[in-house]
Amino acid sequence: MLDALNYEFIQNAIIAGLLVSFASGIIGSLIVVNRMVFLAGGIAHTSYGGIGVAVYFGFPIFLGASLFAVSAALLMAYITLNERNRIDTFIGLIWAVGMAIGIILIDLTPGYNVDLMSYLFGSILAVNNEDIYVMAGLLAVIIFVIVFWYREILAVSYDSEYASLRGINVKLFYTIILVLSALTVVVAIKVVGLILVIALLTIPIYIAEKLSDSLGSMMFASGILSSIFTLLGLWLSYNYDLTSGASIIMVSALSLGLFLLGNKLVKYTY
Amino acid sequence: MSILSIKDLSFGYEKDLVLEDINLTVEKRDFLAIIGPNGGGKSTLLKLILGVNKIKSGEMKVYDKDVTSTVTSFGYVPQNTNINIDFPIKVIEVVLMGHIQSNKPLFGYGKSETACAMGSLAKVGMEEFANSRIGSLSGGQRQRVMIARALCSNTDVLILDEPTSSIDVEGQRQIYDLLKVLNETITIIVVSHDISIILNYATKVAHVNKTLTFHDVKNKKEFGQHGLFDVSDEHFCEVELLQMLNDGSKKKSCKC
Repeated sequence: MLDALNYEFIQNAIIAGLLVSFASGIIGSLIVVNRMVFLAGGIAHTSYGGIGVAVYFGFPIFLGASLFAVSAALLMAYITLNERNRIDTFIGLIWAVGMAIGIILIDLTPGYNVDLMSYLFGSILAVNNEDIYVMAGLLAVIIFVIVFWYREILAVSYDSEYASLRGINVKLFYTIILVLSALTVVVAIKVVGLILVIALLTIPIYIAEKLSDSLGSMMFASGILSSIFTLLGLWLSYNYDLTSGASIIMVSALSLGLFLLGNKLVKYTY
Repeated sequence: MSILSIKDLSFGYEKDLVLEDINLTVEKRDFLAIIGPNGGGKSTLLKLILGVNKIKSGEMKVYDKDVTSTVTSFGYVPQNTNINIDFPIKVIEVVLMGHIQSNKPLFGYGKSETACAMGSLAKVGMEEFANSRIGSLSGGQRQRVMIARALCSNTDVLILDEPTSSIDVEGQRQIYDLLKVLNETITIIVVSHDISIILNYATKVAHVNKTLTFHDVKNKKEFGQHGLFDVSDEHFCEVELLQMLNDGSKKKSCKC
């Protein structure tokens, strides 16, 4: 097993897994406490439109996906902040249209035969050096934003009404959270794929929330848990020749099941 | 200098007026209760006072000055303290939100800010819970934390929106006893349905139902000894109160 660590693609996969785990742990915490899970799901699926555009016009897929995801995030921020009544309808709509654009553009691309499955379910073993630079850069940006605006983000997330009375620009921070979510979703697509990304942004976070007494420690615990699940999933995927993204999600889901069961047992015994 | 003075204020979200010709003055160390039916405009008046709604006609002065900033100088305690119970946040972090954002350190919280927050917690008797998770507290304890947060904004005025709506009876009494102590140094404005308790603490009552009717209860409390305000079961409803206030005013020819 340890020989595997000598392969560059395995090393890259491990580094990428750790970087994405911490990015999704931090941002996932914000998504969960702000009840934006459905929005994040919408952004993830809309980014497929960007993949289609990138393939059709022949520019980097990461760029296309980011453009679409960030646009979707801005649109959703605008809708949630201004059009309170039918948020879920609009998000569902953006979600489906994004995917439709992606599929049609890929249909139209002559001689296209890239493995679609890798975007839907991830391809962590195909991570290259540039991907790692992008992931590291994003994680650095996320950590910077969280460190410098922790109290504003905390106030907006916990009690946005009060935050605005205290002079915090609630709309701005809400939009920042959504845009960072969009970028995190895009890098996480590489690891678990756009269909499974929502699990990475919720399962470790849910467990971490129960174990933490502050938003900061929840973010850190999410990152650690996510890393463990990702590395375990990767190991299973390598040993038994399974799809890496699905393995990571199944490890997470099983851990969540054990955690909930353990919680119930603890409650019974006391 | 009055804390708050509102003159001839009318307000509506669309065509219809929600509030009409409101006149209200709040002096230092008043304990003002704003009462009235649901949909009568209490919340709208509160939002105007807090600067969330912008004034369209009439005038409002805070400390004899026009309101320009959107950041209210009043300490606000929201109605629903049961939001985000699962949120992983410590009591002290909630209180620290009271500080105004403009003079904050580069990151984290300043030493003086933390000291001030602990002081506010001590004032409401919650300092031992500073590092507890907010969700582990009872409704009444959480309400105290929200009061501490409002005190933390360095204010002389506390505004509370239905402070006891989600608390048990014992917790309500504790909250009002706390407010009574705080009222020795600061002004308190409470929006509430809870007439029986308000009567024991409030010095002024404003009844808002599109228009505002003002009652100075402080003086009238003296009539209580003559039977006007004797409430044997500690509870009576708004209508009876208003009838009594009206009765009293006819006798004493005050124009409400």
